[in-house]
Amino acid sequence: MITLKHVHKIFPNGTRALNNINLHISREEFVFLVGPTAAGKSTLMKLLYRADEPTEGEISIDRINVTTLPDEQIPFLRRNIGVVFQDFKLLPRRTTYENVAFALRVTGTSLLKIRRRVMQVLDLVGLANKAKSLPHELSGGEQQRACIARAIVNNPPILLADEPTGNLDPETSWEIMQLLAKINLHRTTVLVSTHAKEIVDGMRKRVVALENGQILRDQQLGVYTHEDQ
Amino acid sequence: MKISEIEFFVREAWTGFLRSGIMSVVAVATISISLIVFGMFLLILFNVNSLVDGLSSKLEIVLYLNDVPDTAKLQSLKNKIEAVNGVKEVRFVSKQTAWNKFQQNFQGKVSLEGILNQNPLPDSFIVKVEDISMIAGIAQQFSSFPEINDIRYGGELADRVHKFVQTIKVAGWGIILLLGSATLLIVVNTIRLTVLARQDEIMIMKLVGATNQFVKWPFILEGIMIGTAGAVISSTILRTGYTILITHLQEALPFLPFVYSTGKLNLIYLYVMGVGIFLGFFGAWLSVSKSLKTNA
Repeated sequence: MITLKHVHKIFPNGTRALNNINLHISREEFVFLVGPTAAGKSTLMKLLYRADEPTEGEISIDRINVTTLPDEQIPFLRRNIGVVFQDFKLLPRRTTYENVAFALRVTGTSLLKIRRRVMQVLDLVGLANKAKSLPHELSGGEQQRACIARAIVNNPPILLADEPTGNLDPETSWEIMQLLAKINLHRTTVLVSTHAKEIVDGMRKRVVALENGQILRDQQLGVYTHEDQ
Repeated sequence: MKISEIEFFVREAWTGFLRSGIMSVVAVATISISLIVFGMFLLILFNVNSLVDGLSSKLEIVLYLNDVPDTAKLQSLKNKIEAVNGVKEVRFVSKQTAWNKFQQNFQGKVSLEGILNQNPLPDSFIVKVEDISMIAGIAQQFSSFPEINDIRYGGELADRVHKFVQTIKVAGWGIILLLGSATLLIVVNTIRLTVLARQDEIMIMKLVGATNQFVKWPFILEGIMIGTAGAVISSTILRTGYTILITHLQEALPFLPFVYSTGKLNLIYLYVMGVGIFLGFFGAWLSVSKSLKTNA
């Protein structure tokens, strides 16, 4: 599903963010991307949805070469990738419903289909009763649920979550991770970058550890910190 | 473009306009004010032009004849004068007509009875020219006509009026150009602010897979809405203001030829509106395109 081959990323200021990354993620996998701040987790995610381009190497998603994708094709790549952010990035003057519907409206879906699908997704994330609330009326956990709902509303095969629980308390973080696992059960490939050690250790999923832009460890049913480290 | 897409664009533009609240009001007000200043100057220039045209149309060549010709001679002379290049209009004034007019002008002021008991004025032709800059050259040509005794054309005055007209026209266009550029900058920047205020929206639209076209159109339509609102407000104010002002001015200065013709005035209001709408569109298009480039 997702393949990175010899991917390097050097920023214009000379910072080496990613150093020879080789990674393969299969369809319907759930993968944690762990590591300290500035390990390159966010950069790796950004390369996947073409918010940035690698300096060297090749990235393919569903056999499509992302690195050579023409600019006008980027919107269609992004419709296949849902993205969840640490700071939610909800539009402040729009209701939960509108925020979620937004992702479908910009792809030209009919209003009737949008209504059905948005309510379905809000139900899945547990926000059906908050459809008319504005973001500032929601708790942090609820805002993240709305962000997740927006990311999955057009049924993307891949869901990327960049530090989704970074701004949330531990209990809410658990709920959010459980929700991501539930979405994974609906056949979506999920890649989550996180600092939440307890959750990673508790969930026992595949763990890819990044440090200084390199893959330190790639482990099935892994934990946040390896015993040897 | 599908109907559902157009509907989406219009709806997004409208909600964007409403949601921006104060920002939209400020933008419309800024555009209205700059268009009013622009329009005011257009109206002033228009009136000055009409004044100046009135002035130059009053310049004419007067040809005084030697002796009283018979009707056939008179007609052939008139034809000869009309044949001269640049002559617009030739009018014969008989010595009797001139005398009557003279007497009329001085009636009550000076008593001519007893001073002049015969008409001292000659017959004359009054010649109007197409272009007052050519008046001296044309007058020159009549000096070779043996029937003509004397030629008067205002000489230096005509030259001065001509220079004045030229200066006013050039300066007018210069100011219009300057004011037009100022309006362009103000409107484009105002619209740019409304777009910049919603940078986050553009970024999210792109992240969820909106094509550039989809991001652009609501903003462009919103720019057109703001431009149109500003244009309608400014031309309404200009129209009302001008009508009131000109009525008062005409009472106070009845000898000046103010522009009344609704056809010509409507053209100015239409022009101001067109400029407003176009600038709304242009400003939004420019800023959203730039914004799309920075938000990869």
